Amino acid sequence: MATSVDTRTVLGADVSLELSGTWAGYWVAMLRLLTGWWFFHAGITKYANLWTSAEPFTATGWLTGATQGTVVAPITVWFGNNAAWFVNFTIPLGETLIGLALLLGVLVRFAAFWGAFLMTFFYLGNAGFAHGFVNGDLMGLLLFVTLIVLGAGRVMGLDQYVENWGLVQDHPRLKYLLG
Amino acid sequence: MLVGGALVVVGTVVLGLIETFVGNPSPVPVTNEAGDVIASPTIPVEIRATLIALGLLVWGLYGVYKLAAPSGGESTPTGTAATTE
Repeated sequence: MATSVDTRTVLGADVSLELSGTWAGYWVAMLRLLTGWWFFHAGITKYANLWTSAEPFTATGWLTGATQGTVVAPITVWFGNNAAWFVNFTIPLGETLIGLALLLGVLVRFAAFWGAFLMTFFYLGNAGFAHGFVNGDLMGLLLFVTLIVLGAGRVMGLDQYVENWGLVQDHPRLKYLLG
Repeated sequence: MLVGGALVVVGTVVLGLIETFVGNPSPVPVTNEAGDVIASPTIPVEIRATLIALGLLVWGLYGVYKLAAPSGGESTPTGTAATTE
């Protein structure tokens, strides 16, 4: 079954996208799972000191050192000097929860928003532009935006069930947080 | 979506093309093995990064706006879809 997506609102161009529901569905689910595992793994391994002899995760050096001179430095350096504990706490927890949400397909848009938020700081803060402005960090950021735009949690994810809850039916705006 | 996307595309693609053909093929200074700068970017890297950051900020703010805006404009977030067999 092909689905024609009306794109007349895109700069007024009267064209349509013909999507194969099957291909698009599997592709969206795969993007969600891989992006979810990427962040879940990145987050959970920052707790490796709990079961190995690894050093506890700290972003202080990155905040006050690596991001110096970048456009996000006013924010990152301030946090590094004044509230590094907050970043050291929220990055592993945030990455783990964002990844878990994407893997389960629940609250996908909400999770992907915060994933894109984190990737914005990683992309601009790493400032690894020696190989160009389009690098892996930006691609990762765009993956999260893609999941938001497509509402990826509905395909093989729990959001397809959550969206049927009475609470969501009564407050349709909640769908902007779900898949 | 259009404004944010335009800023991101200008910061990456448009200025990247200009930079490549009139200035330095890399957004950052290119050095030789001795550490001497052999090519410098025409467009400061901060300007391009700021444009991209503004584009991403517009996207983020739009997402928050969609969630917080008074109801009435609610529709399928990805646009209307019609099924054709």
